[in-house]
Amino acid sequence: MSETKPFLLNKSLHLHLLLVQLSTVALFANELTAWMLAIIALSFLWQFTQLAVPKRTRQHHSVSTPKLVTVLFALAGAGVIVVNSKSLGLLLAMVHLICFAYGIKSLEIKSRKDFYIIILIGLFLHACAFIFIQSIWYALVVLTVILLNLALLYRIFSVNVAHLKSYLSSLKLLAFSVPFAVALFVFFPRLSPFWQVPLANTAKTGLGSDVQPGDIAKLALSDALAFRVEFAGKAPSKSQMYWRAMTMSYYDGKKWSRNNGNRLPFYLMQKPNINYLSGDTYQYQVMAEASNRSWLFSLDTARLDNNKITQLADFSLISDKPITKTVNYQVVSFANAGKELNLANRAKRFYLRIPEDSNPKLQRLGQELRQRFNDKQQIIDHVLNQFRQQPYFYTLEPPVLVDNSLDQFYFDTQTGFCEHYASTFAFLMRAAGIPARLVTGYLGGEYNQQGNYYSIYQYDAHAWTEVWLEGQGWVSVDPTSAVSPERVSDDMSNALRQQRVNIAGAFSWQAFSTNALIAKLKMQIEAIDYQWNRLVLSYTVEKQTEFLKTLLGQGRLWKAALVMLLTFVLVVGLLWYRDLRPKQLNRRSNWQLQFDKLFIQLSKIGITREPSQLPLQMINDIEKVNRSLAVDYQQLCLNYERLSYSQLNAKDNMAIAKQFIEQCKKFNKQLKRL
Amino acid sequence: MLGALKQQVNQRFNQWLIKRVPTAQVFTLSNRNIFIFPTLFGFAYLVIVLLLFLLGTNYQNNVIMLLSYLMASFFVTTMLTAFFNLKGLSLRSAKTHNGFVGQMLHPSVTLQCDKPVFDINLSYHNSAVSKINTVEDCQNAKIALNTSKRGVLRPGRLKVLSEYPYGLFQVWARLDFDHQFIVFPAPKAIATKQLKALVTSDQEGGANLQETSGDEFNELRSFLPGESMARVAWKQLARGQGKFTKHYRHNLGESRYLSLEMLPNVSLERKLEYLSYLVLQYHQLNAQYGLVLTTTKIEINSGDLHRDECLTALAMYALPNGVIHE
Repeated sequence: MSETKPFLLNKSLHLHLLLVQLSTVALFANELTAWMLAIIALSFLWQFTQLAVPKRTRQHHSVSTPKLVTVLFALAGAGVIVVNSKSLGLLLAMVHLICFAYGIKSLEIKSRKDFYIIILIGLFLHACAFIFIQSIWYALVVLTVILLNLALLYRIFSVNVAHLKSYLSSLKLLAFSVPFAVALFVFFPRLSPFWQVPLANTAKTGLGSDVQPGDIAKLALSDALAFRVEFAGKAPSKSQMYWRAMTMSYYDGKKWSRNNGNRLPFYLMQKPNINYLSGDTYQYQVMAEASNRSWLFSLDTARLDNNKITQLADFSLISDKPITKTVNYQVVSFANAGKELNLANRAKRFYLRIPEDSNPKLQRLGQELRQRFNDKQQIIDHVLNQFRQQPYFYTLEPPVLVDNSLDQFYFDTQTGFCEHYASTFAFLMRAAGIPARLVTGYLGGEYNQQGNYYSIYQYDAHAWTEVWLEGQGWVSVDPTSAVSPERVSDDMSNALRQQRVNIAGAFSWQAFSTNALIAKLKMQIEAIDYQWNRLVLSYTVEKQTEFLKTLLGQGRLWKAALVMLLTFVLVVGLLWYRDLRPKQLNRRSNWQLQFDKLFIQLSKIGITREPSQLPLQMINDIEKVNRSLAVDYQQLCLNYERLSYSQLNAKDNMAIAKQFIEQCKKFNKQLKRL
Repeated sequence: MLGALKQQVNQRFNQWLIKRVPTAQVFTLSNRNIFIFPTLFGFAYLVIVLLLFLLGTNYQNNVIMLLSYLMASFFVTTMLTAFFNLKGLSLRSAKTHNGFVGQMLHPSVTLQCDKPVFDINLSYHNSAVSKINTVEDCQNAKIALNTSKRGVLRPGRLKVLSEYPYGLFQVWARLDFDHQFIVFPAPKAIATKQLKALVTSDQEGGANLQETSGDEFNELRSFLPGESMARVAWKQLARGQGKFTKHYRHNLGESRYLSLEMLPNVSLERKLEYLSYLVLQYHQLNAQYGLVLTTTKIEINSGDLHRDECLTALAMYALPNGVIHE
């Protein structure tokens, strides 16, 4: 029935709506194209100017938009979507469409229905925002926007109620909804996806599938989290934490690559060949952040039991789908495992391949070394010693190499980051007849005391090498450890850290977190985010099944239903109890309390008020004491009567009450002086 | 066919309602008389929550799942809050209320509560909705009812509806105050000289009604509805002193009976309108008057109660039950 009535938002409500819309669209600032953002912003700006400029002819503050303007907006938005639809992909095109509809719907609010539609589209968009980001902080931001949206709706049904109360009441109702929601989340059976959904083609982050000099140095400027690891039991020392992502075995004269074009090397799909020897084992859980790439991370020689993750022959882990949201997996690693003790001749030849015409000086050096040393280990040691003894420098800002020439690096500039050393080393080893490959991944990690886990950031990205030795299999060699041992033992040397700050600009977490207190706070914040990841984001179908099995045992389905029902009853009971609680409606207001004080003061000088006496009737008694007091008293009583008996609106009431309290205080002061 | 079925269901429902929420003068809203059902918007909200669930499941996105559960749970919390908003509200309304045809009837309802109650909409089946934003402690509300015919107006049950807090649910109660509003004939001015002097032998008292031929200006009185525009004192109105009518002295005599026979030959309804006017006139002059309507006779008297009795007799005259169902 209310739908038929004309529905008009007043200025305050419309501004509130604009705020909600603005913050909702802002959630998609990264996803929307600049053109779409501009159109939506223009629509908001138009509404804002309509509200801000008072129109004498307009009776209500609501916005009425000329047809032409609406049509222009609609055409512009549709145009942007059509033009960009190819590059956007299905998901982003949908997001554009909904955001656009949401942005311009408020141009025409004619009925309550229109308003409701905006509220509901808003709610849907708030959920959609989580497709792209799921961190707890982002969730809190979105929840705030949801609260804004609900408070707006609340204000429609509680006109004349203080603005703040709409937020508080909505927050309270949301808080009351949490227990049942959590019960549903934990116990309501998870379902598998019903149908294939379009994924966001967002930018890939982290390590790429090839490495050329300068790539990892670039990555080292990023503060983004790559993944987190929680060890069950003991953890290896930091200098042993080589997190393997992939190996690169193709060298084309400029860069090392994992694949040759789109093809993986033939042997990678074989079963990994690991000899588990005695030694330390590490059990840990890895929680990888979304990277939109497939590779996952583990220490060397990992073993895992997961049907969505495969281990390739080079011991790297690969997910069957790109990582678009946080994934979680359990791994066991063996410190002293023999990696592929027997290598087929074909594979050996594969790992010795170098383009004939590239880096001739290094090729010559390799041949020299092969002739000079009988033992392969000696060659390796010799090269590492060269790095150690010659003036090689480790820096984030290496000089540019012509055509990525490793020759130039090794013999001339002698300045580079880990990928320079690793690329050159692997090349040199191949030239010297030792099968070698480049390994990329991360090194080290930041320990979080609060959460008992390690965070590995993009700036921990690292490249090292593996050489294959008869009888030992693949052996990891990190040339960086020869050049800059502190890079391996510490997260990053101080000089390097300073360099990062200089490149990244004045504000950077690294510079910032040198302050102990802030560093601790940062750790705390990250620990919270970690728990959110662990408890909420990675609560999958499998996890739920497992959790319910251990918690409820047999007949877990009906027991889960019972728990949900109990929570529901609990919440209902809580609300019922809240309603039954005695209410303090006749609480005396401030001005009444002040008036009470006045009578206490009066009684001290012998003037008491009979219960039947009206305040004004006491004026005679006061006049006997002091004339000027009586005049003040009379004025004060006038306000008292207005407060007590006239129907005042809230604003007037507050003003008079304030005045009245002042008068009472003044009167009391004068009384004390007597 | 469908109409008949609907009617039957309605009838059943009304009978059940009579048992469940019987007639009273005061109602305190509780789970006995409150109804609650999602609004269209509430259903739309549920559809969106379901969409969120599908979205969350298909993307295997736990945050969206959590949000969809939170919104579903919020729906329940809102339902309870909507119920508790009206629960405990007391409504009181007098059984009767009077007015003239063509005027709005404004029956009043007193709402009382021990906590603020929001968004109250009061209405009868066919009336406009009277909206109260917030009731704190105690408040009077008036509902506007259209009147088109004289007689007794039974507006039916009063509907108290609230969509607080989010419009997802409508919570309502249908209360039977046994309202019977008497709608008097609209007063229609008639000049005294048009009245036939009826002096019959069997009339008791007040028989010596004399009428002077000349109308002598006597006084200005506040405008009464139904008075002729020709009598309005325009001078005073133009000076902004208010709307008055000029009154001339008629020698109405001590007291008299008003009856249909004394009126010129017009339709019955028009006659009743004239009588309605005369009753008001006599009442304002503080004169003694009575009323004779074929079989009904109201003895000569004066005062507010007497006026209402006469007007009620006029309202009910020649109506089988005197009832208008609206």
